[in-house]
Amino acid sequence: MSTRRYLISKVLQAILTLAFVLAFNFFLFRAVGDPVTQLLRGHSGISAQAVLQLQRQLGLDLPLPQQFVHYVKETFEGHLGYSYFYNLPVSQVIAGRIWPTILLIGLSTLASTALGIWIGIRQGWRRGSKYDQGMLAFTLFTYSMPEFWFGLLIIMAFAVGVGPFPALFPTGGYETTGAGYTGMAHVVDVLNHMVLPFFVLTLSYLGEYSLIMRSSLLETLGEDFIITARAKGVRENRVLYGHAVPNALLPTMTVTILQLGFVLSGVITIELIFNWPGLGLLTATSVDARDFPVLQGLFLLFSASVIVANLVADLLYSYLDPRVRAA
Amino acid sequence: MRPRPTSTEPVATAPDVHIEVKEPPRTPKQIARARRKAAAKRVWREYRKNTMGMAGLIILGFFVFVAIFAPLLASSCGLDPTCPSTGPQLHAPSLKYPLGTDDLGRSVLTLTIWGTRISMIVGLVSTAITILIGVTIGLIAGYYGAWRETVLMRLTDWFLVIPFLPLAIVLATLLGPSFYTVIFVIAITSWPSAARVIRAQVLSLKTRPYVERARALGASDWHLVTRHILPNVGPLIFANTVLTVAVAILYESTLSFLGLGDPLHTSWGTILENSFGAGAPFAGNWWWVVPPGLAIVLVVLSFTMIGYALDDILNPKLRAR
Amino acid sequence: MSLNGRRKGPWVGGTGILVAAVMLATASFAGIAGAQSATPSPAGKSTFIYGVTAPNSSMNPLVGYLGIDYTIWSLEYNLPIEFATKDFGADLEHSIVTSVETSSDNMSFTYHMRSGLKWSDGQPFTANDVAWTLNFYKESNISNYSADLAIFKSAEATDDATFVIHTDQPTSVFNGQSVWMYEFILPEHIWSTIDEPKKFENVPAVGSGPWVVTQQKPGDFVRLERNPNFWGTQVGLEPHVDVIIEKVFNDENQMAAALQRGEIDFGFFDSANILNSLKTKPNIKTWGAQIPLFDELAFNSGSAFQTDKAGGFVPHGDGIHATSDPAFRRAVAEAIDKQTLVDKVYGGYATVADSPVQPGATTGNWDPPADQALNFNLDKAKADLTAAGYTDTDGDGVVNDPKTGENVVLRYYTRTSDQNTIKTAPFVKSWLEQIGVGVKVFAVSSGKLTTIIESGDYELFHWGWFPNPDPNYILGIFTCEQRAPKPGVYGNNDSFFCDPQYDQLYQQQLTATSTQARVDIVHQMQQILYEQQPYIMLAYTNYLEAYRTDRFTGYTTQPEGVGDLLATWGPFGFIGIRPVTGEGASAAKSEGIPGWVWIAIVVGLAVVIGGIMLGRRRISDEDRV
Repeated sequence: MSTRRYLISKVLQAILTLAFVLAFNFFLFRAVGDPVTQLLRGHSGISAQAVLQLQRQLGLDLPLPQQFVHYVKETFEGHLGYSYFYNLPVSQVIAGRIWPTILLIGLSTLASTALGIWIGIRQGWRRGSKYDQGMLAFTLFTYSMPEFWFGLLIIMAFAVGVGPFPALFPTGGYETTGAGYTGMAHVVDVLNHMVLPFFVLTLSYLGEYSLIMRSSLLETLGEDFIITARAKGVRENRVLYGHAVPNALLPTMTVTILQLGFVLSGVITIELIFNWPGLGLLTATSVDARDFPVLQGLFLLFSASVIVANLVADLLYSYLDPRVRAA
Repeated sequence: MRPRPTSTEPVATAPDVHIEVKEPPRTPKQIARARRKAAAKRVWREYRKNTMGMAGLIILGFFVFVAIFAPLLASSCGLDPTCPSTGPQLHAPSLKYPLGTDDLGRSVLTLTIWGTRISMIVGLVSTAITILIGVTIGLIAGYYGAWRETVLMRLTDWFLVIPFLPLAIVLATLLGPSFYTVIFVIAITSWPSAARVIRAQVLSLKTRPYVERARALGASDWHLVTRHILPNVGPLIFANTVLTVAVAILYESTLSFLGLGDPLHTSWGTILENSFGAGAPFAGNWWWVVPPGLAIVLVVLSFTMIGYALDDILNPKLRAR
Repeated sequence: MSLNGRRKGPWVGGTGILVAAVMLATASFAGIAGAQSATPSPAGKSTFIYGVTAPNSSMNPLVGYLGIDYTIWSLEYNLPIEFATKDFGADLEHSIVTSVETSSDNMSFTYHMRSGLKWSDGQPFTANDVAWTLNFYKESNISNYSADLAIFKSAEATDDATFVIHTDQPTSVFNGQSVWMYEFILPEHIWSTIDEPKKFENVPAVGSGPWVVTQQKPGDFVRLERNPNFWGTQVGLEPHVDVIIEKVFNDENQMAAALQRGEIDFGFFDSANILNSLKTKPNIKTWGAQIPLFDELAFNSGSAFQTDKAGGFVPHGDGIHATSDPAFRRAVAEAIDKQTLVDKVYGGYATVADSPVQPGATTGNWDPPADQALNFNLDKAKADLTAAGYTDTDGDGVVNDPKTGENVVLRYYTRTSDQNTIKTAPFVKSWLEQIGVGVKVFAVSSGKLTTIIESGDYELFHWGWFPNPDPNYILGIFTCEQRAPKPGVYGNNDSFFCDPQYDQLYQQQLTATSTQARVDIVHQMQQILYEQQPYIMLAYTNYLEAYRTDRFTGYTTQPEGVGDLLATWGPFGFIGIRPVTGEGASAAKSEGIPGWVWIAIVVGLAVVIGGIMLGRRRISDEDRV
């Protein structure tokens, strides 16, 4: 298959998947019941006329296929509906939450992949050593931890303070409310608030990457070209960094990118307990408020970001590893 | 390297299993059983040498014991705040309440012991359903191929990219919080990876000589699937199951923590949700936060370690050189 | 060739230290920031920050419905007559209205306003705005205001400082002796030009109160700034704070930590455990405010059996017959130990309740006479149940309904969003089972419960109300026409209580022409509710509040002595607070480690890590040849 055809097929697949998610999203939320009844919940004395008007406005008086077309059209125009709870357009509610999440996920993913890969390399290289065993126990432990539980412990220790030790870090948000910092002071202020959630997320996901890097390196080390290189008398360090690691890195990087989409949703509990005003916190509060339009919008956004991450991983993989295209 | 037990050994392929053979007593069925028994023994022998795997097994054994014998370890009355055994509210650990009490005066030890049951049941039942769906879809897609495969695998791929937790949250929110919702939601969101793995294995088994021979001899699809394919994907299903339980238990706790669990059942996740809601982290009631979380970590860890050890043994690529 | 198990020490140590180092480096960087952020806000503006545990539902007074939304509006807008701080009475001294005249037929009320009032954008604030707003609320049937405006006919401005309210029937409620109208007056020049007022975000807002909203980030914060044109300075209402920020915390642990660290000055809490813990911290005071807020166990008092058709009611639902019998409900009420619930479930931050009209209400509260009180007594409850015919005829331990013969088993709904309802359930279940009444507990979301209630498919549920100081609204929810007429249609009357005598009294209190006569009627209505027990009133729950003492002072309570410190009915609580000055004032907010310590830590760590890594690399290269 040519590179071009491969790329086109991948992009087409992503678009198809996106279409599936759109349809799934539509029917999932239609299945709950009449959206208008939900909209009117708690509002007494609404006239039948007002209900009709609302239905027309939402396109609910149309037959289902037309409703679907209406929904797709609206979605592409950026109209994701109207939040039950905030009484604002969903797109407006979501838009204000994207940046904090990207910041938190971006930095913590960078840190956890870098550390995870570094640890994984050393483990794989010295398979069965005390280091390997120790790190394996450590990473398996962090991997098995519910992030939010670890977060609670961290809050108890660093945000509240234990015994005579004072609370070291601010919590509850993205910046110092009302301080009005600008420029560098603002950046520093945000970072200060990010320390604890960043730490928890980094440690929680580090295990995953190191485990993947470790096994990926182990597989690579068993391959013929490594044995050949060693037979040729290439120095061990060179075998590791010149031959094994670059090859083992490929699957790890792919997983990292795939993981990015999932981390996006995995921050839900972390943002909740650290009151980080991002998409995850919005998800948690919308669950509480049963704010279905917002949940629907978030679900679409999360799914779309995973699909895009998948596509990027596929394309990157084919670029880095020509064998994939040949296959 | 010794070949893997499932791959090359000749398999009895009698077209008719109803053949009456009095002597010798070894029917093809028995031979197959004996062979599998031997294979299992080999795996077990290797497994026993794996420290991590054994550690996982011991931890898991402990929690299974706790789950089964919960009524003997702590009276269920202790879950009811009107029970006479409840003590002072939010009491730090003491001799009478080794893990302290919650805000209704219930012993956290009792709650954690009983939470083991719910968490394990949710983990196991949802895994069973996951595997059932995964195996069915993987088998059909892998065995029949053609349009069935295209349709099922496309569906699987779609479900695979839908982010797990948001989907689970949306479903649980729509369906309302209950014990069954949690099980259903976990199962419905985690089958795709199982389906993919099974399908890949079925694809490779399908072309094995002994399967082809059986088919040439006129074996029905049902016979092929139940006698040749399923028993041979068994180990893989098992390894997959072990890791799925770990994930299911983690997700149960996350869903419960987000208030989507069943508040009338005590699971580790709901204990954590209650403690969080009642301000235990701020008030420093660590005894209410640490035990259920630690229990989750240990159980998930034990399943992960077992899964890892199995992977080490069953996956020849990872063998030490 | 084996690479296994040769080296130890530096590898483990190296990685461990590196992990720690990266974490600490970020931490340190941020720590310096923490030290920097200790400097107070710029330009000497005083900023007061209060924390809440849930986001606002809207900044728009036509659609929002939460208590915290009302708090914002009462800073932004004026009511025609404000609630007095002391007792929720009419405070004409501090209102835009100075006096009210009642016509002889008790159907027209002339309100005289202060003159020269201005909106925050400098436009004049006149009687036209008031008349326009009231008519607009009435015509648009805004649910927040429809109860108050039930017998309101129209309002007209006769000049810039006078408006007249006309009613359909004679009444005393608009006579200005109490605060009847809980209607926020909006600027006509803004709102009359909006096509879809219900979709108006209303940020930044134009208002007449001491502060107006200038910015909001939904679910994160709301920022209010001082209104330069606030009219209250004429009457001695001088705000001392320039900026007010409502900070949304979605979790109380974080809010308590923020209060402890001085990131916020005041917080509204829900958890007694957190409040008790805050009590022990330095520079923090806590307070359980008694405000109109109650929790009840509501019965389905006969959605399937009632014949009264008021409001288009059609009998519906599968609620059992027993709960439609007042004798049964009274017996159940005697089996509920409210004091135990107050102590154990509400952590002591509540008082036992018996009427939906709270003690602080403007009409005063009715208490059951000692001989009529339904006190907790399981033996008496059981005896009363037997006397009413509910006995265990089939010997299965559960009493049977004398009319239908069925076992009396109550479906009892709690709400997942309210831990107190879930915690109460096992107590109630245990007590009811002791008198032979079966209970099946469910936990559902509030939305789901609303649907269940509308359908009449329940026997018992636990919920609460946050009534106005005037009892009209809360008493109105027990009238026949407020029942959900059929499944799927909302009705305020969630217990399906329907009693013609009660409805008659409800109309009479609206149209009584003297305030005292109205009070008497309101008390009679409370007595009916107590005797019939559509609600088992559980507790008047406190509003839990905590504040720092080192930054702001001047808190007052409403009502006096027992009530709310801040989220008062009207802006007076906020107007009273002022920054602490002189000794005892603490400018620094952060309690963190000073910046130089962090720098030292970073430098030290960098040296250590650098050393280890360099050393290790050299060794490994040699070793691996």
